[in-house]
Amino acid sequence: MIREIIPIVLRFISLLIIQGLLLINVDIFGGFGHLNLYILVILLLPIKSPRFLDMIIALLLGFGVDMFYNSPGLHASAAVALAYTRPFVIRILTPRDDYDFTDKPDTRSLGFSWFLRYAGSLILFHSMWLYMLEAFDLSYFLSTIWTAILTTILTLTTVLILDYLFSPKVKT
Amino acid sequence: MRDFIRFLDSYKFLMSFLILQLFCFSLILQESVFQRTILLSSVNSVTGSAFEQRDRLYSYFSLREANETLAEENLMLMDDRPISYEKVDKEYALINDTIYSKRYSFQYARVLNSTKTEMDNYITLNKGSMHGVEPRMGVLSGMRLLGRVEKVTEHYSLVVPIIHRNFKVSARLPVTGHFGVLSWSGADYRYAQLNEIPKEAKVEIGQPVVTRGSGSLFPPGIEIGNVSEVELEAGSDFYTITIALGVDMSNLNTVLLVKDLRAAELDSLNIMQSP
Repeated sequence: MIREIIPIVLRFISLLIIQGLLLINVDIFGGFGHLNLYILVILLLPIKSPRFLDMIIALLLGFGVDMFYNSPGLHASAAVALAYTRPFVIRILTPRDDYDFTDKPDTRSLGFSWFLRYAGSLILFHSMWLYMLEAFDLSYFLSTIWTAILTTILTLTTVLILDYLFSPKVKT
Repeated sequence: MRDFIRFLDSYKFLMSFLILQLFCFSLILQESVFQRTILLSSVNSVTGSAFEQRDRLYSYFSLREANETLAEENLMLMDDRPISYEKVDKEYALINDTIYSKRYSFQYARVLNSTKTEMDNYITLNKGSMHGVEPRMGVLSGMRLLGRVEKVTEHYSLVVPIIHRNFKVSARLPVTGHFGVLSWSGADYRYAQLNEIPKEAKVEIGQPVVTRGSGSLFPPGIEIGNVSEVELEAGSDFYTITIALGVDMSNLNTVLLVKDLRAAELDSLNIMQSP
């Protein structure tokens, strides 16, 4: 139990600080693309983790990010929506022989293509929710969609690179 | 009853999801209406000091630039001192400084963090109420318009810059003498929009835009930027003018806070006017 909680807490704190102090000022694609790495905390929660707990973690994480971004409730709302939607995506992507109880949602235990579809769809959903809510106005529709797509590409690429760098290699 | 409990049980995640979302939405709406939440903003003690620690590290990297801007400002001030002037006439000149009374006082602050690519951007400063910063003070960067103070805590203050969708200021075209309202559309941090300039005005690209100084935020004549695009929609009596902002949002180090010493007097007048 403890062995599962510690990495989550460490990821929570380190990604929150990285997001709030470094990635907040990252400016790629002329300011349209953002790098929202903090959602990796939610993406990497265990597959069978209690759903309500997921949402609470997401709420706290979102509030933490909101404190840096001066946007009370915005990132919290998107993070909770992400945590709520995650089990649906996991269910849709169930492999033929079902998940093992010990499976973690990463490339090591479930393969690259599974992780690409899992992270890609969830990051796109999160970006759409976040930037639609931020604009709060349909007159920004096109630029909002554009921001969401560029953010998804940026974040997904970084997540895949991080996953490649940090997940221990499979012993063959 | 048992059915009802089963019903609740099957929807418990959806319910908790909706309750949490309702909570977040109320915070978002409250922020856009009242702008009061201090706890979830970067001027609270946790994020404020985090930004301050980062600034301590970052400031070493920008020392050269900071020195250069300081030297330039010194040069301007030196250039203006009596020592660099020569008397034109042999007769003495009368300087009667009782006809001037001090209206604006300035204070400097360091920028701890600034965003420029969000829809509503913010700037966090390292001075707060204990240094005499108050909400609704004007903020300048390099003697150009930057924004206004929105929230203040003991050690930090939060600035709403021009590039925030709630920021509006009365701006003037000194060449033609017309004035309008400056606002930001949420797109590009280098440009803002000037509306309500009547089509009779002879607006040309490159003309300067300055503050009108009508409220109690900024002195009149503070540089905002230059006209970069002029549009006149068919059937409209007013121009839509795009302004290239003079202030460089991507390079903010120190800013000046402007305090209008007559703000209270002006405000009381406005209150009397609108009961």
